Amino acid sequence: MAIECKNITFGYSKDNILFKNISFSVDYGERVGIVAKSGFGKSTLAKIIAGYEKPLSGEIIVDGKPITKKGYNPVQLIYQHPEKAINPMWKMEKVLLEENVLNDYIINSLGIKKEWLKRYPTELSGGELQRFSVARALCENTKFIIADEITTMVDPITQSQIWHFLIEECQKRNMGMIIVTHNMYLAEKICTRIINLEDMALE
Amino acid sequence: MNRRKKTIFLICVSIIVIFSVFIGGLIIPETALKADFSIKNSSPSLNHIFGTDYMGRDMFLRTIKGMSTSIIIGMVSSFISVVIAVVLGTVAGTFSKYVDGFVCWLIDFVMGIPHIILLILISFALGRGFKGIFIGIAVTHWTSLARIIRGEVIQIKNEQYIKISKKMGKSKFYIMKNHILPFIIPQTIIGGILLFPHAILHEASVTFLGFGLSPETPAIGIILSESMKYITTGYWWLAFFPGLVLIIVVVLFDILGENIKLLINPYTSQE
Repeated sequence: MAIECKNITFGYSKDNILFKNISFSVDYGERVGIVAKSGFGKSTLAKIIAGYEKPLSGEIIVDGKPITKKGYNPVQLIYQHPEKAINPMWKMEKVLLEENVLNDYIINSLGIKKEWLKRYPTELSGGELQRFSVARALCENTKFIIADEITTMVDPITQSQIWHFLIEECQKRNMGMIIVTHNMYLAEKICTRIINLEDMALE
Repeated sequence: MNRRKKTIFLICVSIIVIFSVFIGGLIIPETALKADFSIKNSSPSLNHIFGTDYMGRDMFLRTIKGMSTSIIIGMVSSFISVVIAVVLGTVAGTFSKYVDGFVCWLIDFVMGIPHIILLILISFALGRGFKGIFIGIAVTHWTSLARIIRGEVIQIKNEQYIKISKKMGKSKFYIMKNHILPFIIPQTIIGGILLFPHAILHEASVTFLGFGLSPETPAIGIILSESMKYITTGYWWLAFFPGLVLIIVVVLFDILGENIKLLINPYTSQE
């Protein structure tokens, strides 16, 4: 078992519970889709797994140990809005250099053009920026990727390009992937297993 | 002429005037200020546009030289102030809440004492002169800028890209240096320029009260306090022109700061 979520409950206060007792696990090399309707708390769950939010109760266990606060987190989250996830004052080159992923292989596979590297984030479109977010998460220490609606803002061709590359990369490095989406068709296409949180909450 | 051109025009004019006063003061030799009792206390004329004082010295040259001294004091002490403000502001915003609490307490503590009293105290304790003035102004003026920077840091700290950077195992110092400092630099430049007029005015007032620079230094505060002795005898130009120049320079710094702010701020820069 690589990532284990044990009885995760999250809410903004004790009387305002968003979801209760969510438990599942994801293994290396697996691609698990998480599906639920809008407002269920998919993105919040994604943030909890990646360590950005603390659950009210329950815990996340990676490789048998609870996630650490310091150091590189092997579980990396790719956000839904790339324009918020990239420092607007940095050139794109620096964004990739921060994580040491500025190599031709990643750049070419994601369809990043060389001239984009010299630009600022405001000079690129959302889809173009998202490729950088994806590239940044693919640092060599990453063992799991959580993709939180990462292709909702891009055209179908780019969408397929990004997913093809991510799937190939995950298989090659034996990484696990958690795909948060409300697009059932996309989930069926790319995931090896689908978890419907609404069903889980009913049980 | 659109807003942007007007802004750039005002910035250039302020810089040119301030710079020429500054350079002018530096190149005026001491010999130009020697006493000449044959023309003492003469009113403004074409030869001496600001008149002359009780020793027959040209008031225009004295004022420019005094102003240039004040500008140096303003520059050095507001630079020290800005450094203190940036360091304490970022530290307060970046580290734990205890550090933040301590810095906030320090800001309130320094702010709570009236500037001028603290300034007189420090300047007097350090034996007056330039050192006392520099340290006195630097120690009293950083507070409001530090508070602004702390606010900015706390605001930017919750941005997604900083959280991502943290999850990628970057240290607090790395984040501070690469993410936070570039973001607060525009605020710091503007804050620093707007500190300038305060520093000059406080330097002048402390010197005027006799706790600042020694009477031999040609500073604007000395000139003003000297001229107070003669104002009752009707030598109005001794106080009027130096005072006017002081106000003009202060207002120019204010215009400079405000216009640079308009230019740096992305919401107003293209209007």
